Amino acid sequence: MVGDDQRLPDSGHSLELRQLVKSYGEVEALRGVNLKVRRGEFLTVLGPSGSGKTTILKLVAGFILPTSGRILLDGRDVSHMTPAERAIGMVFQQYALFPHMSVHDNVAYGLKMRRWSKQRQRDRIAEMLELVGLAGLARRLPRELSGGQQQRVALARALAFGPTLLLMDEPLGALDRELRIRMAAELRRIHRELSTTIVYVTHDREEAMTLSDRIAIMHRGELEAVDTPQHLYTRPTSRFVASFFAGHNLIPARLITTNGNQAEVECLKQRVQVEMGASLQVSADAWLAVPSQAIGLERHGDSDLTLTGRTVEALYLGEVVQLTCTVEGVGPVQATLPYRGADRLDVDTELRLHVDTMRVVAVSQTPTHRTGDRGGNA
Amino acid sequence: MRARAKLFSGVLSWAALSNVLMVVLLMFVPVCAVTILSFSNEPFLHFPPAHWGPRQYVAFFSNSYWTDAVIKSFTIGMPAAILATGIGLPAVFALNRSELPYREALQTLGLSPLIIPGVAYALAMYTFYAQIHLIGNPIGLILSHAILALPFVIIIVGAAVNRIPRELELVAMTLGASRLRAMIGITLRLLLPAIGAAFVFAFITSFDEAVFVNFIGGPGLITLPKAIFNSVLTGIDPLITAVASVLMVCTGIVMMVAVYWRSE
Repeated sequence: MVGDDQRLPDSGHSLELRQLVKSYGEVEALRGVNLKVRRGEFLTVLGPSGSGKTTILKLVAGFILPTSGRILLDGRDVSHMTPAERAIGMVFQQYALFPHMSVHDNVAYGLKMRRWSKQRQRDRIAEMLELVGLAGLARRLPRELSGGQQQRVALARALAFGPTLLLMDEPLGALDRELRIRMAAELRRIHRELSTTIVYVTHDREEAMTLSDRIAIMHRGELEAVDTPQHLYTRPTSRFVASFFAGHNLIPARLITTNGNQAEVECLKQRVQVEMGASLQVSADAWLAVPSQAIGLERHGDSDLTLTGRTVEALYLGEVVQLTCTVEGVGPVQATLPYRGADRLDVDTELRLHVDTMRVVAVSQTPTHRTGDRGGNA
Repeated sequence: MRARAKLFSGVLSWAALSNVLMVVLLMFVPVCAVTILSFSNEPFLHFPPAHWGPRQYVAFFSNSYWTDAVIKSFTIGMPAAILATGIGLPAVFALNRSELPYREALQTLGLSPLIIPGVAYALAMYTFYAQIHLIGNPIGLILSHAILALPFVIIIVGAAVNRIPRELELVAMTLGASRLRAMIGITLRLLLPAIGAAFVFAFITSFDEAVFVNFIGGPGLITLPKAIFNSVLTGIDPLITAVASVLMVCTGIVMMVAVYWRSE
C-alpha cells in the first residue's frame, strides 16, 4: 500500500523512479522507467531529442505529473508534490536568471523563500559566490554578465539552500566550445566539493562521458542502459547504445552458439568468436559493434574479421586518419587508423580492412540486462 | 543593366520623398497652423494672426463648459482604462501561459474591436444600449470604451509576456515559491512597464474617442472630443485652437512615455 512504501528503510538512494509512465493522450513520452540514483552520484540522462529525457526532468522537478508510477526523493514519495515542496535545485540551459535582480538577490531568492535571516543569507551568498568563482560581482545585473558568468550565478542560486539533488537541463548548450570545456571542469570540481547528487540531462555524449559517474541512456521513452561510461563503451548492451552512445560501426551477424559470455557468430561469410554485450538468442539477428579504432590494415592473427570495400573519404586529423569505406553487405564503415606519414589512402579504391575481434561485442536490437549487472536496479 | 538599377534607385528615392512630403503637408502643416493660430489675440480666426497673446488659452481654462468637458473625459477614460487593463491582463496570461483549447480563436475574439468598422459598431451599440437604458449613461460609455481599448492591452501586454521566458516562473517554483507567488513576484513585476504602457494606450483611446460618444453619449455626456465637435458645428470659436493644441501636446507627451515603457 502507499503508506508502507514511505516507511521502507532508507535505501541510500537520492532519487528513485519506479515504473514511471507519462503519456499525452495517445503519445507515450515515457514507458515504465525504473531508475535509482545513488547519493552523491553524478548521473547523466543521455538521449536524442524525443527520447524522454526532458520528460524525466520535468517529472522529477514537479512541473508535470506522472500518468502512473512513483518518484521518490531520499525515500519520500514526491510524485504529486509541488516543485517548491520537493526542494530540488535546478539549472536551465538559458540560465533563467531574474533580469530585474542583482546577482546577490538572484542567489538570495531561494533563501528568502525559506525565510533565512538577513545575516545568514549574506554569509551563504558570499560562500556560494566564492564557490563558483564570482566573488565581488554581487551587485551586477544579469545583463552585465557573460554567458559563462550567468551560468555560474544560476548554479550558485540553485545550490544556495543546500538541496540534496541538483537537476541540470543541458546547462552548457548555450556556451561555445572553449567555455563548455571550462565550465564542465568547474562542475566536476563543485561536485567533488559539495557531493550533491546531480542529475544532468543532455544529448551530447562527450559531455556525458567526461562528467558522469554513470550514464542512463534513453531511447524512445525507455531506459535502454545505465552504467559507467567505460562499461557502456566497451560492453554496449544494445544496438542503440552501441551506435548512438559509443559510435561504433554495426555489422549484421547471425548467432551460432553461445558459451557463457562468448558467442560464435557468422558474419560476412566468416566465423568469429566475440564477447556478448547482452544475452542473445541463438540464430537471432544480431550486430557486431565494432569500434572504429579496432579496424586496421593488417591481419589480427586468429581473432580477425576481414572486410572488403571501397574507400569513400579519408580525413587526416593529425595523429590519425578517419577512413570512411563502403563495405560489401554492410554499408558505410568508419575506421580510425594511425597515420604513419608514408600512408596514402586514395579515394574510391578497393581496400581490405581487418577487424580485431577481441575488441568487438555482439549486440541485439532489444536491450537486455545481464545477470548481476550494475545497472538501474543495483 | 546598370541603367535599370539606377532607374530603380531613382524611383525608390522619389517614393521616399513623396512619403515625407505627404506626412509633412497633411500632418505637420495643419498641426503647426493650429498651434500658431492658438496664440492669436483676436476674437476671430485669421491666418497669420495680427496680434499675439494667450487670449485663447485664458478663454479655454476659465470657461467651465470646457473644463467640465476635460474632467468628464477623465471620469470616463480612467475607469475605461482600468476595466480594459483589468480584463486584458488575466486574458493575456490565459492566452500565453495555459493549455486552454481554442486559444487562437479567443485571441482573435479579443482583437476583434480593431477590425469592426467604428460607425457600424457604434450604431449597433446604440440600438443595443437603447434596449437596456444605457444611452446617456456614463457606464454605457465606459463599457464601450473599455471594449475599444481591450485589443491594445492584449497586443502590448501579450508582446511583453512573450518576451518573458517561462523558465523564470519554473525556476522560482523550484526555489520555493508557489505558482501564484512566482507569477506575481516575477512575471508580473517584469510586465509593469508594459502594463503601464497598455493603460496609457487604453486611456488615450477613450480620451480621444469621438464616434461612440456621439451615438450613445446622449445630450448630457460631453467629453472633450464631443465639446470640440459641438463647437465646430455651431461656428468656429477661435479658442478651439487652444483646445486642440493642448490636446495634441498632452496626448503627445503621454504617448511618448507609453512608448518608452513599452520598449523597456
